[in-house]
Amino acid sequence: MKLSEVEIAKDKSNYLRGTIRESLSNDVTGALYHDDTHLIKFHGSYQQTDRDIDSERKAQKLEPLYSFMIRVRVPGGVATPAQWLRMDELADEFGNNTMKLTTRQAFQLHGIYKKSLKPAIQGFNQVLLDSIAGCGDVNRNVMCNPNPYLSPFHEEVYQMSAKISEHFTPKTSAYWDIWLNGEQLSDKSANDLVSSVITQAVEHDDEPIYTKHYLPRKFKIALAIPPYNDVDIFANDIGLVAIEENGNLTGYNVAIGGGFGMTFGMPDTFPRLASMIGFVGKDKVVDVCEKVLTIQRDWGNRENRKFSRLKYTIERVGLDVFVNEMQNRLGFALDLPKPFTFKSNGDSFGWSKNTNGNFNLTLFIEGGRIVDKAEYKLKTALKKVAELNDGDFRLTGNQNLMICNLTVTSKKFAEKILEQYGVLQETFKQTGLRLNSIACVALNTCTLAFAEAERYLPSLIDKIDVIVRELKLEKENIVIRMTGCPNGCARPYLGEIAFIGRAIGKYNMYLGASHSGERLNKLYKEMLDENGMLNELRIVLSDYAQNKTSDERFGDFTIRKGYVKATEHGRDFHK
Amino acid sequence: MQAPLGLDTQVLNDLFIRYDDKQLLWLSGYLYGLSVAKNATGFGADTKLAPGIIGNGIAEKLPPVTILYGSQTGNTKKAAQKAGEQIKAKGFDVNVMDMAEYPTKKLKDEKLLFIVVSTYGEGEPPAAAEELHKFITGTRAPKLPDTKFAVLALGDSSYVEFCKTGVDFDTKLEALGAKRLTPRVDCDVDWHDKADEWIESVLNSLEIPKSSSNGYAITSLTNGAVKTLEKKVEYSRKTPFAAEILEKIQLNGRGSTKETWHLEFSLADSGIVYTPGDALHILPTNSERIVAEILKVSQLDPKTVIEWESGTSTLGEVLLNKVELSVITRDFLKKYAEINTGSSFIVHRSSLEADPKKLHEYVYGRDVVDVLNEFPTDLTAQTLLSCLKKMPSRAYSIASSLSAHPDEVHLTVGAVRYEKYGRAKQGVASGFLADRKNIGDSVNVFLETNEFFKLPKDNKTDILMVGPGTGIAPYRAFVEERAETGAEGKNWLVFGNPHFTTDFLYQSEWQNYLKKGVLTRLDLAFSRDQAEKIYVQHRLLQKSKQVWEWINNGTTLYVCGDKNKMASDVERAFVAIAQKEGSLTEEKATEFIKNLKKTRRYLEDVY
Ligand code: SRM
Ligand SMILES: Cc1cc2nc3c(=O)[nH]c(=O)nc-3n(C[C@H](O)[C@H](O)[C@H](O)COP(=O)(O)OP(=O)(O)OC[C@H]3O[C@@H](n4cnc5c(N)ncnc54)[C@H](O)[C@@H]3O)c2cc1C
Ligand SMILES: Cc1cc2nc3c(=O)[nH]c(=O)nc-3n(C[C@H](O)[C@H](O)[C@H](O)COP(=O)(O)O)c2cc1C
Ligand code: SF4
Repeated sequence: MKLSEVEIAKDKSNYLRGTIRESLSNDVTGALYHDDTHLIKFHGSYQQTDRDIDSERKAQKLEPLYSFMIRVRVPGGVATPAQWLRMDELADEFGNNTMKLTTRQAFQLHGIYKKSLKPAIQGFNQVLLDSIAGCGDVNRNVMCNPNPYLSPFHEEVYQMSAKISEHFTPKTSAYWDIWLNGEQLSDKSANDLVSSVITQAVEHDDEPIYTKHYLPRKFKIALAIPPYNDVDIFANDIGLVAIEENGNLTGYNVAIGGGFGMTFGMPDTFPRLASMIGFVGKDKVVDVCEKVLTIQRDWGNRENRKFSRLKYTIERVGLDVFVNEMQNRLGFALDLPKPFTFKSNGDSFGWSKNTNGNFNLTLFIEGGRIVDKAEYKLKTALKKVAELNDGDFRLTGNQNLMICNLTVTSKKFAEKILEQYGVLQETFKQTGLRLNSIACVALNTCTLAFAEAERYLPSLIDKIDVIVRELKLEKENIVIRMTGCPNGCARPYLGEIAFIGRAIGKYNMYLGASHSGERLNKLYKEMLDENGMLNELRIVLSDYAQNKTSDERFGDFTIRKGYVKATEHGRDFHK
Repeated sequence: MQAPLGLDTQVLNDLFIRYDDKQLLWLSGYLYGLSVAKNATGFGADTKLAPGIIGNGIAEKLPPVTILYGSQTGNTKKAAQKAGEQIKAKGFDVNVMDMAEYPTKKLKDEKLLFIVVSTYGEGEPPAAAEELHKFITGTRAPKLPDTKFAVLALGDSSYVEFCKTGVDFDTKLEALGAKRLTPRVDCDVDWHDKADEWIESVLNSLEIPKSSSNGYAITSLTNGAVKTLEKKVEYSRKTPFAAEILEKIQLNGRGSTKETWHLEFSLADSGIVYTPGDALHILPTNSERIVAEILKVSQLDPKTVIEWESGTSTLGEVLLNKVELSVITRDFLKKYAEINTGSSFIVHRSSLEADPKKLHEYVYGRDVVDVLNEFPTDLTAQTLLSCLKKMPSRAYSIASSLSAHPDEVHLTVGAVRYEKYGRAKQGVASGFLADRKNIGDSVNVFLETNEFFKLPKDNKTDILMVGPGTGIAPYRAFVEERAETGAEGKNWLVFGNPHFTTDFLYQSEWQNYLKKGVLTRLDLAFSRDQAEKIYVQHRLLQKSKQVWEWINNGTTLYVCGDKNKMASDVERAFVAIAQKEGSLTEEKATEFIKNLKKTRRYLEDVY
């Protein structure tokens, strides 16, 4: 057995410490020592370069412009106004003046130079945010429907996501040692800066759940309350569907083995939706998650990272064998899954009212990027709303933002601010297609990108919008997703329309996912340039406008009309 | 052909197979020389032969194999290493190397060269291969008549430019005269099998025939070529050498407040021989803009015909090419006073004359246009020219080692640009190089040797080099030279500039030297990266203990760059270190440092 490079780095790392300290104090380079670039992911940060100027700088005999992305965990996507304000401030002080709301309801700061990492991390630590396990071979930010008004037991499900998140947070004190001089904020639930107690972190250097080598690969969990699947639970290693019986939350349907990364030209890599394996009562759900995670810990592939996600472990041993092992370790069997229906994996925009009389607002944030542009000062507007210090800020799984639980008075103020800066108008004027768009980060920071995504999709949609409006489809909620590579960060394989980057300016086009996130799409055309994409879309959208049945979703239509075959299982994705 | 005198044909055969034409030719001369020497002095059996060339050694002496990989994500590295292991198993001496670390000038000496390279972007070389790729596809690529090669290309057939970089190497190596041992193999995403096939055919092509039926005839004996000693040629301001610009790079990253140019000039056929520490002089011409400004304020016609250096010329031509306009001197003011006899200028000038400090302040940042503007007078072409001085050359510390870059000289030039007295101005020489000359253009240059600012004679002596800004230039030459000669002395560099991200001149080169251990220490002072300003002297003070240790170990100290402020600040820092670490009084410490200067263990190249 030949362990992968990352496994060796983990092994040598003394619970994720490695030589990060030495890396930070080396002032000859803006980069870390090689092994530390793997380890720092577990601390929530990636080393990146400004790819726009890589070759320019090389010619200038300068190293690439290294900087770091930090991913700040927000379980269930819920942040306080104080936390929002701090992130806003840190983006300006240490980052590239933007915040990215991710597809997993987290914050990302980009463009942080090595020497600013520590002050930045300390900066959000003060508002009780951390980036532990933001990335790395551990359980990632746990997702949950952000919208409290959707369901009376939303709070309960949200609390469960926080509990799962807490349960799987690594216990090593490396993070506190390295970034916070050994100080750990002891009361994680306290939101008040002044009263939060700082204590010396306990020297925790064993990992009861993960053990020394952590997981073979990243691990993801999401919880959804039907009929809303806005967190795309089937894209996760574990997807939990809240089940209501007689007005009570009884437990969760459990689906396992979802995951999206694949590599072009390697048909044995593929996106896979999680398989439904049964129902579990709410008191046992953490236990079930732990067993699934630890079996993956023990059985997952540690030699080739291309095949180390849970989905491949399940494909390798068989779902039955996996579930058997899980039930053996649990000491009980799961019940049959309970019936439920998902309607959509998108967000619903605009104002809504809570049972307590307070108000929620969902805003469309293009590409999840909070930035001030000359003509559109989104960042400032949201900062002003946060300064009202009321309600909370909820990041959706579609890179959008909810401002929740505003009192009537705050609502009035917020509305005024948002109108003044054109933010409300920006949400309300969009076509259904744009409102249902997401794009991954891609260039210029993502090291893995082959093509543009976030920076390009808006202008492509400008052109698609012309077609959509011509065809009078502007009200149709059509899910469109773009990524700069096949890793699938914007969950493109669940896009009714998806463009996945192959090379600069060249995309593969996929069609046929269901609108509810329950069926993968399929390759329709390869290596299209912009004209190619627009031409193909015009054909299919025209057909849709003329021949769709009354409630027919675009994804279902493309299957019915045979543009692509339905993908029944990840294994058949390439067929 | 029949071998004479009962020679072992097997030995001759081996020689033929193992050595290329040039080597055989050399060998023939060498043997001839040996035979002559033997006859003359009666050398017996103990005559020393070059090891491994003749005799028993010969069977083991296979030509060295170089395998270069250009990889981004590691695939080609793996393939190259695999090939390396298998070729090594055949008894070859194999060097598997990252292209990024390969000194391109070694290329021409390669006998057996294998290239394993992937393709990125849209048909571009991976970053690690960029330099070599540029080198072999560029104008400076050497002819490779003695090289045998083969190429393995990795790529992805879904790209339009499938395996383009591999193709580039393959065709270009052939074009340079190298002989292809086995056809190029292009691998798709599943590269392993095809890579194995390639390795297989490489191994076959390397198979050494056990015996060969036709012997080799040594038909003529030639003496080894006599290397003619290069004669040092004297170039000067009057008779400069026109050096072609081979490369021109802005070293500061985007957003920098600085503008520093790296320039590479060709010295081919000049006979110029320099050593690190020398300076190169540039003879610039003025910008059209300043000439236009002069003509405007003086209201003179550029076409005015004038006498110039025992001939005739036009005013415009002389102003552009022959005289200095960007700098004014006391002498200029004096001569101008002979023409501008108005009382206001005369009064002004005598007040400057009376106070050198004021004079200095006055000339700093003023050019000829400023003076003509401020104190106008009626001018003719002749009177104007009578005040001006012939364009002086500007010196630049040489930033390269001739052994690292044969036939080239490199400079590090800071562009002088500033706004003063209502006009945007530029330095004449730095502006000339930055704005008006490009790759392919020629520039008039001559060498100025510097006898003292030199590497220590003893290459075991440690050196400590302090050089912020363009002061780094000669140290690039020093370190290159020490790397080339394998000098054992330790090398410590202290550099400073405003910002780490944009102003770390030659960053990637220094990183490389650190990695290789050529550079022992590198301390950096980026003055504007934090609230308080940190300069090189602060770094020296912070490391005072080590500095003192180095000094006590006989280190030679070098300071290069800004004369006005930096050089004295640094000297004060050294004095303070001597005080603190050597427990000397200020007076003694000052004397100690003075003495170092006197004994030329503390050298300066400041301007
Ligand atoms: C920010 C985000 C996209 C966005 O625009 O919102 C993102 C950004 C990156 N993802 Fe992702 N992923 C993000 C959600 C996803 C998702 C969607 C999801 O989880 O719901 C997926 C697909 C689901 C899955 O995990 O399979 C996803 C699958 C990947 C993969 C492929 C994993 C695989 O199993 O093959 C990689 C590459 C890898 O891990 O080797 C990756 C890697 C990356 C990296 C860190 C690139 C890298 O490894 O160097 C990207 C950083 C870009 C940058 O400059 O910020 N990202 N990534 C999302 C952050 C989520 C979070 O807050 O944690
Ligand atoms: C031995 C030696 C080695 C050298 N090595 C290098 C080297 O490696 N790299 C390098 O870049 N230079 C080096 N120099 C300096 C170089 O010779 C030139 O002096 C420099 O490039 C400026 O020349 P210029 O023709 O561009 O400017 P000039 O036309 O000579 O103009 C210079 C004048 O502009 C004015 N001025 C400049 N800056 C300002 C300002 N900010 N505000 C107001 N007025 C200003 C001053 O009046 C100054 O005298 C070296 C000098 C010497 C003597
Ligand atoms: C962004 C990107 C661009 C690429 N462009 C090309 C290309 O233009 N032509 C090609 O043949 N291969 C291309 N490739 C494929 C690589 O050459 C191939 O993956 C190779 O195996 C990488 O080898 P390495 O790991 O040694 O770098 C590209 C790969 C990436 C990630
Ligand atoms: S999908 Fe690919 S390009 Fe986009 S962020 Fe993820 S890894 Fe980067």
